[in-house]
Amino acid sequence: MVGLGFTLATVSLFLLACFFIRPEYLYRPLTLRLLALLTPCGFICLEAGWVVTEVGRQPWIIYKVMKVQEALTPMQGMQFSFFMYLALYGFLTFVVTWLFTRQLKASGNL
Amino acid sequence: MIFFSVCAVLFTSLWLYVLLAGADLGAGILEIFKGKKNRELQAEQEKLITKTLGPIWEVNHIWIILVIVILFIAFPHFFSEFAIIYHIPLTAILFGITARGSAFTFRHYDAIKDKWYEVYSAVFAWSSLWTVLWFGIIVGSLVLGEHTSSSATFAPRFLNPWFQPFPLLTGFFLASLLAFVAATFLLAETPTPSLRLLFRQRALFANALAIVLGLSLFAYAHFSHIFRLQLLFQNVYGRTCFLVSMLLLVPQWEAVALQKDRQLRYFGGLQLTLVLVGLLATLSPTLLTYSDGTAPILLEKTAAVPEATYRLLFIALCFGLVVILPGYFYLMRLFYFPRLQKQPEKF
Repeated sequence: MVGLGFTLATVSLFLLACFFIRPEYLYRPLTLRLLALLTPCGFICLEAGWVVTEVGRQPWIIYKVMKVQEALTPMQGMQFSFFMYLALYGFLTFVVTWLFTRQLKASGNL
Repeated sequence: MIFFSVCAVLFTSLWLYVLLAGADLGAGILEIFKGKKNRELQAEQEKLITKTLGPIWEVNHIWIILVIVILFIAFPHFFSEFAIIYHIPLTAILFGITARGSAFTFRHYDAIKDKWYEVYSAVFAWSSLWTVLWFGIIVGSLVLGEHTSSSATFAPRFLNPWFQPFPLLTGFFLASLLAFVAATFLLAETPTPSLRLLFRQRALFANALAIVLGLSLFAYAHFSHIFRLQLLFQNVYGRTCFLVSMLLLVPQWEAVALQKDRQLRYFGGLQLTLVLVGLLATLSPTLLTYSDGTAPILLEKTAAVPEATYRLLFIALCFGLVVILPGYFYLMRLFYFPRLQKQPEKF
């Protein structure tokens, strides 16, 4: 996560320098490929950061103040709630993937 | 003073959410009734709704987040009880909001307009109604006040407070009210006369429905001895709000007849505000009441929250509002008063 973050920052600085010194470098196939390659990195960093904060503080929900177990709702049958959210977000992931593919396929005809 | 300011921000945020998200959700409900015969009119309505609500629907979340954060920090007892008891309705609302938000975005950004467009529209419209019904169910059961404390078993604690006819009726009342507000809101933004006529009819129909459902609510409360709604007439503010909203119907219908569309929008907003203020005035200072003898949760300072927390919350709110409000007003100005903008110079 940290490595990718620094890579993104370095590439940005490099391209900013290029913009002032050698603007033609910005349109070279190699630069464009590099940018395409780095596109998912921002998302990966974001997700990785999220996992670090969520997993890293276990078993606390508020660090050294309250445990996750104590914060859980007393309602019975929480597993149904969990499975429902899992199904919802699984479905949304599927829909978003399908939508992206659809846009990419159509982009040739636009 | 600090506690009072925190409460003021809480109610202002709640009011803005009810008004703006109300118009947004109501527009979704109106889409259910867009008609199937006239394709052109149908497409025009969808375009108008996207254009009018596109800029605000996501910004509306600021207000609900503010409400949640203030309740969480300043009224932790109420927040915890509310979130526990209303687990099922709140989950249903979250599903509804997720579905309508996704469908609205997909419809707007999907570059291919095929049969899926209809699916997005249907999901957007029906999940709007679904969400509003659940919001109304929660409001109705808060008025009903038949909660039970933590020792109770599943059904009395998690189902019975809201699984009753009165909350459901409140849900339909809220849906009609929001549809009315949305119709008046969209009306003022409509460029074409045929669409104006349509929204004017919708506004009138939704208004009539809201009156019928509102009166049924009072009748139901009277016959089922739901004394907390009857309190509305005993509380001076509640009574005033009720009377003013009834009196407002006359100039409102006049505005429909004379086609004063912009004026009608203010009436729509005012009606919803009066319902909210009347309800809050009647129920205050209680936030949550129990039917099993447990002491009610009141809108007051609690020992669980140290004075410093209120102070810090107040500072954070001041700082946050200074950051949010200018951007918010600028957004509103850009989208709703485009003629105020300077034309960009030609390149």
